Amino acid sequence: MRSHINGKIAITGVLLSLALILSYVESLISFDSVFPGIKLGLSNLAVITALFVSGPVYGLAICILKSLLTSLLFGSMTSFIYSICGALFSFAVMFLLYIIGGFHIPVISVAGGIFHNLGQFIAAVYITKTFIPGFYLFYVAILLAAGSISGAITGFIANLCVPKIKKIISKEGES
Amino acid sequence: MAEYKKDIILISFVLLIIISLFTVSFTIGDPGKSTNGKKNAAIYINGELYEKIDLNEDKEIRIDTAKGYNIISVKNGEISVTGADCPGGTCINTGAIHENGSFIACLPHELFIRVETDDHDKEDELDAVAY
Repeated sequence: MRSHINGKIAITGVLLSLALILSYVESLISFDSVFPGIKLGLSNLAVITALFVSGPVYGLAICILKSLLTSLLFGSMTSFIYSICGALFSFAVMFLLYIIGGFHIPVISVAGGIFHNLGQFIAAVYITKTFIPGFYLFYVAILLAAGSISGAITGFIANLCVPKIKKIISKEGES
Repeated sequence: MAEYKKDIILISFVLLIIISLFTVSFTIGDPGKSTNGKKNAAIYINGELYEKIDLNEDKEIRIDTAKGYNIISVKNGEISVTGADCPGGTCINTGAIHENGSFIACLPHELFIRVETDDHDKEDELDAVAY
């Protein structure tokens, strides 16, 4: 039992470092000239994998640590606020769907991607205090579409990874 | 198929919301549509209007705030941020904009630039539709 928890913590550490690398790779690919603020959200892959392999506590840990560490390494205090808002929004929704049960990983990821964008958008509106109703409706529509596309991509990748990592962990537990 | 029942319901719900949002936003006003009227760019700092500049006159302005600086330049009817000391550089990467409703945002400096036309007040019109 004890070795099982150790295995989960080790996997969480590996996933966290993966999340940091993916965040860095992501910062090199910019969509700012197409539509400002759009990101691939690849690091969400680590959060989803942790949620399904190790459980919600580990998922939340990666979610918070990822935001904190990426901001310390590549960003600033402001980027931390946006990052944590998006990450917590996204995690709350994914956790809810995980608890309800019956949803598959890609669908949960799509929901997470959408709410990540919504969380960041709400943070941006709150911080800049800029609100233009009709114009923002169009922006939100774009954000939802982008969130679901990137969520679907990371979701399908996570769907391939989760069973394999689970298999490795269960083998470790037996020996 | 029964296995994916919940997934299908959720995804169709999401698609419905996205499609309806696009439809509504295009019905009440296309933000990407360019107009022939006099074009202005409004610069907002911290949610308050800082300056309105005419896009037909080439000029360069520097905005200094407590959080840092942004250099905004107007050239050939387009506005862009050419220099800033913000960490992300999103405002510079956005490039030059000229279409009505398009925007440049520099979130670390709480700066927001939006192209607007003078001939009709779009915000009031939209408020009337929404409420």
